[in-house]
Amino acid sequence: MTKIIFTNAHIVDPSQNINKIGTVTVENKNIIEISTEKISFKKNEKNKIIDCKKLILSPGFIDLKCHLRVPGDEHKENLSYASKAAASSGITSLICMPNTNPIIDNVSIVELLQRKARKESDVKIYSTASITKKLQGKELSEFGLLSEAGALAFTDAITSVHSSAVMYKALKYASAFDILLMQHPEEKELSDGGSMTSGKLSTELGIKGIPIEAEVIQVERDIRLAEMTNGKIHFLNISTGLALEAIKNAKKKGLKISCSTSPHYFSLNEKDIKKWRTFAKLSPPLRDEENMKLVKEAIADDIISCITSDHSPHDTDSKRLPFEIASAGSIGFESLLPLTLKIVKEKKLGITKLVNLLSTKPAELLKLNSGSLKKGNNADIVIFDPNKKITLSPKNIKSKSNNFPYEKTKGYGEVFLTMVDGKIIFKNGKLNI
Amino acid sequence: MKTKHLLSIKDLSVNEIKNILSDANDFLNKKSIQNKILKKIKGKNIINLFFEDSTRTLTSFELAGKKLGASIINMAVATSAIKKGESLIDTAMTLNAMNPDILIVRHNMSGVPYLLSEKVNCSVINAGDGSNEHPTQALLDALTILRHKKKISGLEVAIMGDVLHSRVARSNIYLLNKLNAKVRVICPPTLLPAGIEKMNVKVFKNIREGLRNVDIIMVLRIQKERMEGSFVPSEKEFFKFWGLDREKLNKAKKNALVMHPGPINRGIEIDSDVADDIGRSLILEQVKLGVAVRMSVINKLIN
Repeated sequence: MTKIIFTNAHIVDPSQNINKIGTVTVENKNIIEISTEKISFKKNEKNKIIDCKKLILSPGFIDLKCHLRVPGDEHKENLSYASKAAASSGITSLICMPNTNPIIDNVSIVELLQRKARKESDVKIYSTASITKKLQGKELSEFGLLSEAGALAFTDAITSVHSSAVMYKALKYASAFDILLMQHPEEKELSDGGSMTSGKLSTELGIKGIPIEAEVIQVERDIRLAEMTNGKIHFLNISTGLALEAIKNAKKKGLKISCSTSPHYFSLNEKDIKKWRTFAKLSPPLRDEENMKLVKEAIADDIISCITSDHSPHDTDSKRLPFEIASAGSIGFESLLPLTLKIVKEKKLGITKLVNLLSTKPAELLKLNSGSLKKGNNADIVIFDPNKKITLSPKNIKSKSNNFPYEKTKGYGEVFLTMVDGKIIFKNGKLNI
Repeated sequence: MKTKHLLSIKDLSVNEIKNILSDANDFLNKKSIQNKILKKIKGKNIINLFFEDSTRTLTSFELAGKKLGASIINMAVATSAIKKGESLIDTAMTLNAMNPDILIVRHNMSGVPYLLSEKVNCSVINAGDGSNEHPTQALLDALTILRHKKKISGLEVAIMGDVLHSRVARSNIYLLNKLNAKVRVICPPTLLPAGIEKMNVKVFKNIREGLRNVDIIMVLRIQKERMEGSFVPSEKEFFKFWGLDREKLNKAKKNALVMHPGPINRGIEIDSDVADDIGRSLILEQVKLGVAVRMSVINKLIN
């Protein structure tokens, strides 16, 4: 069997405390050797040697939150487009949201997605399932059966479970299967009908606002419920200092609380909405500069443990509308590494931190064995140049949609190679599909 | 005018505002100027594209266009079809293909005239969009004040009522501030927009304090469904605490004047006794000047 040997790579693997130049050998689907000593190997026809000088080699990125729009909204995205966009962005595992049509709340849809992924995608695609049937916030989905079928976590996607009684039962019941619940924290009634953060800007644009407190109110209630039930919650897309403060305190208490955010919330703010620019309409809405700063600090302080792409593709007809009825969300795969690396550099957090945020921590949270370069693990690998300056632009989008709010935003990091299960799926700008 | 469109008061310079107002004043006073302009505008096409019900603004623009000699067409857009906005851009593109000179747009969602202005070749006038702006209303209000008070700079102007949902309030706040008036808003806390105190206005929750020493009172229209417990407990309660009646009017300056963009809810935001007082109320005068101001705006955009 051919071995692929990555030499001279700067290996970064927080799961084994490695941050050193070395060699990684892959055979078949797995990593068979990782060494930071000088090793000799025979150059022969059977071995493919890839020199990774000045490049970082780390476990492939694991995207904890993305919308793949399958099934039902294939005009916005499909698995093949998503896979290409992810592969060229160094993402080897996608965890997709259940707000599809039909909703992922039963075993057959989870299986459908797995079948389609095997056929259409080179990156690994895992689905979540909804906490409540039909995302209606009333009855619990079949946690046990769904997780047996492969649903990795449970979430009502871009809505919160509004009823305290339902969330209480969800947390209690989930503990029987050691299931992770993920919540998009936005108090439903306070945020109802709003499409940007309330304040001077929303008043000036005549758009109904959502108070920033809508996030922390939901977070605080859920923390209380997690404490009551000894339950486990992960908060998605945290965007305010208030919510971060509550999460920090809950973590201090030892509760099983964690949270993530997406690059939009530390790279953009409400001013980017300009004149009703619907590409900057997101959920939760963009906040002010002060909250953007607080999100950055929370990343540095380990309160935020993962960064997700929050990839939310929308077709032109869903965005070319008056602001208040346009769909919320932005494309996200292409901006994940460049913007995360940018803040890691800005805050001088070190490259281990980057890999933790994008791979190691999401893997731990979901109990995936990707996210680590341990001998014997599946070879899910990304190799990238961390110093390459890049400019984000809608022109370079590989997704099916192009709703991308970044026009000339600078970032860092160019992916050189992406490998999934020992197979090179992207190398030097080319997709091997 | 520097800009091709009239979408927002914010886009206008003080000089441009003064020019629009002075031309409007000329239209009212001197017929000869009107005749001169007639020749240039004859044969120009204006389309009134109203996605939201309106009688006075639609009629006012129609009359203004006709007085200038333009041909003006009213497009009745079925409200049901545009409820979700599906055909919005398509409708505008279709009209654009007919090569109008001006598109006058009203819509119940903020930002729509701006969105359309980016897609069409002609000039766009914002005739009211959502809770955003109603620039010609603010201009006609300014002309009304000017004709009665001879100045705007330094005047104390109170805007009262449903400020949260009001595009008239926003346009007036921008315009009055540009012309150095001192602006205050008076409204129940539930109808106060977030961050408005940063827009160079003073905020009052108590109407009697808010009206003290005021030269102009702009009363806003409140929609009935907002007084059924959602923002204010009842019409009765709104009228008692935030409606303008004679007793509250007496807190303002003796020669304070009352304005309202119409249509008025008698006995809710304003008492008939005040609304019909020809010595104090400028409500019908506003309607009259509205035509002149819209003539002035159309004339400026066409030339």
